[in-house]
Amino acid sequence: MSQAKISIRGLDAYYGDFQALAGVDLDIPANSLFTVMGPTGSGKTTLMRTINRLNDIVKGFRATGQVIVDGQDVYEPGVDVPSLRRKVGMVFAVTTPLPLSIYDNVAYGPRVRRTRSEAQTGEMVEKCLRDALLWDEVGSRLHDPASRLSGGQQQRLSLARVLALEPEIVLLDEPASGLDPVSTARLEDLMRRLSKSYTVVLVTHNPLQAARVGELTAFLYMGRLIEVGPTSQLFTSPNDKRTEDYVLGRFG
Amino acid sequence: MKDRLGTLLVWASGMLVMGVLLAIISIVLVRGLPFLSLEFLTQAPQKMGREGGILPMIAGTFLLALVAVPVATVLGVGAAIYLSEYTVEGRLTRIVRSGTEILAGVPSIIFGLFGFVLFVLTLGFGWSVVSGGLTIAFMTLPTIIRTSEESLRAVPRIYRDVSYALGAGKWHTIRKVVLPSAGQGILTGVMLALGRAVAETAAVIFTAGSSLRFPTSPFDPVRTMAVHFYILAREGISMDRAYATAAALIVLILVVNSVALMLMRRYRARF
Repeated sequence: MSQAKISIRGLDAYYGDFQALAGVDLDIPANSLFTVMGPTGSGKTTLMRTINRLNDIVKGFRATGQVIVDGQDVYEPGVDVPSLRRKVGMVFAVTTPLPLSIYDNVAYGPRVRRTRSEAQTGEMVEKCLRDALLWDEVGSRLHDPASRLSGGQQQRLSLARVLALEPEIVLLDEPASGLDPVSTARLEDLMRRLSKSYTVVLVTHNPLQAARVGELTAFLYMGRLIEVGPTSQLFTSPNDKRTEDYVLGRFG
Repeated sequence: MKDRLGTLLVWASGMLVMGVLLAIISIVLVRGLPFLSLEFLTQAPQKMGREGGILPMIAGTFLLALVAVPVATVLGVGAAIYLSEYTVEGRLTRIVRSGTEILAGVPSIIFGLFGFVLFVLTLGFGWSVVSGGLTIAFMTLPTIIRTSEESLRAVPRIYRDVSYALGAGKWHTIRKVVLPSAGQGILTGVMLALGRAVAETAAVIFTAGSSLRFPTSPFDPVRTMAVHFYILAREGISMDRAYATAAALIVLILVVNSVALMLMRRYRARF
């Protein structure tokens, strides 16, 4: 059995006195589409942000336990955090184009390290926009402000931006919130495609979306991991009553 | 009925403000424009300003702004970045912010005295462009810090999150995302500072002197257009030239503000 891409062991997370996660144990296999579902406030976003250590910038945040990516605990002292954040890309819930042009948004990540020539960056931008299924719509106006795109386009732009980092893991935090059904379906297709070459982790509060997408699903509730398993099993014969109530829409 | 009264009052206030503004500008322009000519703008003053032009004063005004604005902007925006990005809201930031707000209310003549003691006497710069420029810079610092800090704090937190998530460090994020986002607000603060630098009289007289000669070094004393207008009018030397100087000053301020507005509009269109 190959080592999981991401292994979480005994993770507790606190914002000041508030405990957001308690004793989370999770294995996420490489090149899979893994869904973390749960009602709002259950700690899903906190969980994601511990993987790329984005919670470091939140004052009062503390985490104990292990978050192991490719065999290395990311909270070990001496870990190069910017490198980690390039390996683990994140798409946020609120679609946020940076206040730059479409081209500059995608080129932002690669330009931080400045290891490429402008010509190479241009090729990378095109490739990522194509992979995110956005090229056809923006290829002719790359220097327009990204704020002029529609919600669905901006979300695909966020994805292209992350792909430009050449990550191994892509975290998507409720990427379809605020999107119309057509854009949502397109995004879900995109995620399935991406999971062939990347480890894709999707966070959603919508159990129906979790049922559509992903081979493995984990149910997180009030900071605790209630159940994890193949998606079909969680939805047809869950082990825990709370899981059953959630997927049936009795709460959440 | 109350709605209509409210609307009327608000409308009347707006009209009153516009009226006052137009009155000020037109009084000065009507009395001053007839005496404004190319010779006036390019010649040196004669007979203590009774005759001749205001070339050294125009130069003085520009030079003073040239010292004051960069110094105030660099120090002010730097302090604002520190307060906004590198500290967390707490006792220290509240103390600093109170200090800034108190300073913003200090009368400019006090700054003039401060500048006189520090730059003219203690540091030995004498009455000069440098002394005057630095004094004006310190005078406008509180305003720039305040407007810049507000603009920086107004940048949505998520922009920073996105930048960090893409592997950027703090300074890179500030330079490429936060500062450009806050640019418009910061520019407004700088424009206010520039306006002040150009129009100050008391603080400038105490620190830059009132020499009529064309400045040739940063340590030369200098007279700005605002100071010149003040002296000409108060000493009754030449009311015509006084108004002409004031008219030139108003035109300069209008031009600078229009250029700034145009720049801001074009800047905003990019996003």
